Amino acid sequence: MNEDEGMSLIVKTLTRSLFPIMVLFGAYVILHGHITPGGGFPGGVIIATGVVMMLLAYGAKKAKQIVNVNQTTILESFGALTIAVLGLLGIVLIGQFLEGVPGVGYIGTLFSGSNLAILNIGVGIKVAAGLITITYAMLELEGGH
Amino acid sequence: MKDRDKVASVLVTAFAILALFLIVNGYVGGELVSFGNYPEREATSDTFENYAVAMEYYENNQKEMVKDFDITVKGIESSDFMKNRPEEFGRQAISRYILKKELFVIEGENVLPLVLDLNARSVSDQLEGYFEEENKQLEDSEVSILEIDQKWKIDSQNTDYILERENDSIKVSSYKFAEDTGAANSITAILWDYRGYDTLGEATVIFVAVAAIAALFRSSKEVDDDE
Repeated sequence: MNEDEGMSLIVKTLTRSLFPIMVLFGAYVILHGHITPGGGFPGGVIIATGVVMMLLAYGAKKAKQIVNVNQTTILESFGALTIAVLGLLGIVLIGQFLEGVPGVGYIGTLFSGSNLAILNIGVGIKVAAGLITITYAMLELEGGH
Repeated sequence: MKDRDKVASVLVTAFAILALFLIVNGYVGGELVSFGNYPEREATSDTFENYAVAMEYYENNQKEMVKDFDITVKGIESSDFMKNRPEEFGRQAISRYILKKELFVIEGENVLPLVLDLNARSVSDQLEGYFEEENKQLEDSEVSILEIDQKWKIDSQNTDYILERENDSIKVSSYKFAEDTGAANSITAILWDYRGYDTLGEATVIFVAVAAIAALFRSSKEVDDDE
């Protein structure tokens, strides 16, 4: 990795320590989407912002070490498939699209909310991967460093 | 490339036909092909109607009910009537904002009104206080309690809170949407359950946007590479 790439040492150090916290917070927002404020969309954006922050501070190479374009594309399709498959499972098992296949559970705990929790995870992966894909795609246009 | 396109179009068509078949199958309650347990979907009856039915039942079978209501004060949670005939009471929903709850205590042929303060810690404490005032011995008398909810009577559409009885205390456990969907977060309940199709479309919009942007920029790069 080229040391000259990216921003100054201060920004790099700060970003390096902030990145895991951002990903962790994003994962928390996604996983607790059915209990606390948040959900798949904001959580995915938080994770994507963390990756974009690394990209800005360290340059494209470091960001692509974390996750590359192929992986984001596959992850986005995976997230979309999760939603579609859950919807079809609802049709097959219960008879209505997007009907909750797992049980409702004890309200207020992490393992509750029927299929809403899984849908949130799917859409979180999808949004995070999608935004990173957009960022990469736009960077490719300008040469991508 | 053309063969691949043909295969893709055939697959998409087959998938669409399968999905349509499954939707129709689900709509008719699994009569075509039964994959699992299809619950009987009844039209959600109005709570007010349930209340009316309950009162009608109460008026018709008052004496039988008194027998059924062979419960003590603590049995307000474990009333046989409530257990056996929950559909006639519908959902016992009351609002947090209405802090007084009206109960009717049935003793023999007498129906006594009783108002409970839901802010208080224990309902059975209040009930015991009530019966102490009335100089009645709980152990000896056969007391029956028929719950009638003020909020229920006044505004049957608006079922804000569902009370959950745990031991003999009443606590506010969840909203109606929480009971419906299992999600404690109202936004998620609306976004993914009540308006699930809407959110699915929204996710599709994002998917298409990402695909379009990727295709747009990637194609321009490939053209550059070809040159």
